Amino acid sequence: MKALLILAGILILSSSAFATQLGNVKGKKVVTLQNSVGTSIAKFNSNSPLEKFEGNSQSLQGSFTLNADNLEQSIGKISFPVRSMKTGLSKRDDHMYGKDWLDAQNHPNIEFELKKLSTISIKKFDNSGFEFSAIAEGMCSVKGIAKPAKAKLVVKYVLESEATRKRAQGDLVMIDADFSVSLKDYNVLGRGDIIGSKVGENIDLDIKLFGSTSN
Amino acid sequence: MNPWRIIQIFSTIVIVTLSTLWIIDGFQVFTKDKTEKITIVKDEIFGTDIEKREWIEDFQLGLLPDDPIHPYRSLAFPSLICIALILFAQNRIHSQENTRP
Repeated sequence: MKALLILAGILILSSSAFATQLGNVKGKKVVTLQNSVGTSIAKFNSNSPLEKFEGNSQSLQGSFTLNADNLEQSIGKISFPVRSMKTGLSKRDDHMYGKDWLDAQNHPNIEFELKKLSTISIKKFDNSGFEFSAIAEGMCSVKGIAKPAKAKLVVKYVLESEATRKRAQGDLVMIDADFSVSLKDYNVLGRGDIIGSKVGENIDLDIKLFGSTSN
Repeated sequence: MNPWRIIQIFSTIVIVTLSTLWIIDGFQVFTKDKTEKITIVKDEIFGTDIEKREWIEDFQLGLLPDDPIHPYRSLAFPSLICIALILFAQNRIHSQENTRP
């Protein structure tokens, strides 16, 4: 019995030792994306021998919960409509929404569901807020196929002040995330041999999110 | 002046003009109908530069057309027509010179 209690104590102590905390910032902070804080954007880059192009979507929606007592346990869901993705070439956009590509009709959204954060490194912590980098681990859904995905991210969290209230109520958050998706993994095959020649096999995403803790 | 020679000069002008436009538009592989206007603004709250991006209607000539059913919206298609015209005109000029007494 005594040994069991000691073991339980060790487990509790070790789990709290691995939980990344943020000093006097406590509890769960629900952050909702808001355009008044900043325009959230998902930029995507395709790099192929025949053409390099980039596009973006500025219709990101969603929210996430930063657990200040244990950042690793942060969760959330961000999505954007396929039809909001633009590349500067209307015909290419139409093809991109089509069945051979992202199939916007049957799978209208691209989603990233955050399950946890790992490799957290606190970069700054003061009275105005904090900044940390981490790896976001979760599931990325494209064309109805969900696959595990990891994104490198930097989170800037600014505590509410006179200056922040001019934009939005609550604490403000900016997230910079980078990750890459392989089109094959999501059954995005295109027509003929376009992938690899005109469209890159992997698409790099650079995502900027702006939100606040007020709803 | 020989009308075939005029066609050759006109075709050359078309090729040079389109090529110049293509270079000015940034050597695009495919014709584009929009361009992205990027404005960088300083965000005082987050202490970083933020990009504001918006798409504006702007035709940019590409080497190849944006839509295969509109091949004329490219540098390659009109240039090939002009090259064919120059060669055909050269052939006519050559024939006229050979048939001259």
